[in-house]
Amino acid sequence: MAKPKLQTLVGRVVRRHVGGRSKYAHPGVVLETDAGTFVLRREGATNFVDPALVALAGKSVRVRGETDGHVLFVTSWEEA
Amino acid sequence: MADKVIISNRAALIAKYGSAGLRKINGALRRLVAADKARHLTTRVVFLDDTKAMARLGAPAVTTASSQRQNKAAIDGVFAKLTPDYLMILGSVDVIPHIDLANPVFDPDDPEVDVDEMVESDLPYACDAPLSTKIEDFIAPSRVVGRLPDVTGDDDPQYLLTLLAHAAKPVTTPSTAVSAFGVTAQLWRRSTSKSVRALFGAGTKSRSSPRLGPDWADDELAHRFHFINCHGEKRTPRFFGEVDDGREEHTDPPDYPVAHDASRIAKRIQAGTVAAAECCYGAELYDPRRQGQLPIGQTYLECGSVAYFGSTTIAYGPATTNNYADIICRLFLEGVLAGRSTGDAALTARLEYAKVAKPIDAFDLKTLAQFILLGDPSLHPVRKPKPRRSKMVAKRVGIAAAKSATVAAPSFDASAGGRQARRTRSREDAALIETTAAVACERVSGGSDVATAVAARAADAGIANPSILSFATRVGTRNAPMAATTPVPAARAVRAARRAPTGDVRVHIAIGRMNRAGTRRLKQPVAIVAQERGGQVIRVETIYGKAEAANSRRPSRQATRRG
Repeated sequence: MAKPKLQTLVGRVVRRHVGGRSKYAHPGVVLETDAGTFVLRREGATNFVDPALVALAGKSVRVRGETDGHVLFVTSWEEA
Repeated sequence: MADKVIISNRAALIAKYGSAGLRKINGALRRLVAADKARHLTTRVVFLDDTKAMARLGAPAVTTASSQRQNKAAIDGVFAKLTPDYLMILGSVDVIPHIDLANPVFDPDDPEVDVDEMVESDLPYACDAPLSTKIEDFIAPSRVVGRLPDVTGDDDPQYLLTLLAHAAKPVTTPSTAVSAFGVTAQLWRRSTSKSVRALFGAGTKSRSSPRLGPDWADDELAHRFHFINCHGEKRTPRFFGEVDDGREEHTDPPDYPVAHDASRIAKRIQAGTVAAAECCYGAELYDPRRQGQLPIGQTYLECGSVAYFGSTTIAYGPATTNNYADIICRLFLEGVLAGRSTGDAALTARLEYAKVAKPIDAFDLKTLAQFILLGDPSLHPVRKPKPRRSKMVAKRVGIAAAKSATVAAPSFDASAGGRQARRTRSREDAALIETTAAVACERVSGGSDVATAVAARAADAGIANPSILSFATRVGTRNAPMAATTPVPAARAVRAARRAPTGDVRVHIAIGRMNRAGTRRLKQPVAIVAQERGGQVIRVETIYGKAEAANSRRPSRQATRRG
């Protein structure tokens, strides 16, 4: 298992369907960065669709968190 | 020789729990070994980092607990020497790691479609094949393997002690008392209904979310079999439903309500329960300290569940019929219901799945790798009725004659003879799969006229920005250790050879985000799959939720109804 990495990423938040047609399929919130695309998630969030992250859609943000594959577990963020 | 081997890593356990913790764990292990002895199983505990013990077994010791390569080599060595009927991995991924296998569905150009670059798996430990990152090298398992996990990142051994105590005194269910609790996302209720009715009888219903759950009543949770078909999320102790209201797209949190929640089932699941969860990440062994709540699977085990079968990563299955996760979960539960041990049921499910998939496609490969068994693999959750002498027969013909007239219920691997028969059969199955299975696994560049045509067809079908994944099909696995050592009865080999497809077929899969506008949700095409031979299209399918088309070409995959 690849070790999760703590890092800060800057990019644009986009609402987008994630998970194809899998049992993960849902309207997600994605951070598009120069380093790649990451599905945003708050660890411990109780909702599958997280309103706090949905509110970031359309904004350019600086996000601190832990990447686990192509999921970024967000610990904090600010508008860039 | 040993009937059952429990493997762990002493240094990793000490690092988590200290020497005092290890002493408690060793005490619990001694009690489990004694309980196994009473069940007529000779059990041996092997610490893979014990250099002296490993040297005596002729196996390489693990010097770095996190090394997947070392753990695979050590387990292979232990298995070769002791040839156990059951292998139980003791500990979570920070004691004995999963093996990372490349996800064949992952597309680096579109990572949010399937975010898993790797599939974390225990499947390689069930195979004789040497370490590799390719799932296709591990489609022919022959070993019975399960994992009794502790809690990742934990420093208190109490959870593991509890699970070891449960394993020493497992609760079993009479076959006459089997009943089921099914939970499903409303959108997938038709698929779930097919599964639970086939497994548990026509009258069995599943609960749909929304609007039911997650506050299940005690009498609902009291059923001994749980079948869960919901959404799952990484590092999350909850499963989610999805509304089926005819709308083309769901965007709001209430459309995906919590359906099953570890915090609401803790201490409420009955001992002896068997659970199969199709949900994404349903068996992910993450560090739960930030959530303050155990993962759902580990919550089941803490309550005394004898088995939890689930996925480490994103799983697949259609909305209205059965395929992929549906199939492997059904096969697992069928085995348990028939009286197999949980480990035998998991092995049999993998073999049956691989035998009937023609060809084994990229989604099949991920399914085979991602589902793992949590629990002691030597336990038999369902108790078959003991053979009884008919009083009438006894009165008429005497006790001796009546004894010969009794018919024993199938015992599968409950006896030494049954385990030997299982071993022979599974090795033959593995050898046949190694030599005859067609696997669409070798990623090749699209580039052909057919690939271009598939992309155009996908765009016409409403699949937005389709990515084309092209695979060459090959017959048999690259390494075939089982085939090299296991003679297969001639009749079985001939039948398998006749059924085997040729390997000169290329498979092109067009996948991408759905363009939902203007079409009904359940009829949304999600992929175009085309088979090409020599530049000619020989088969093309539009896959609607991976459903009808997939099932129609592999009817034998439909799990049979429980008798």
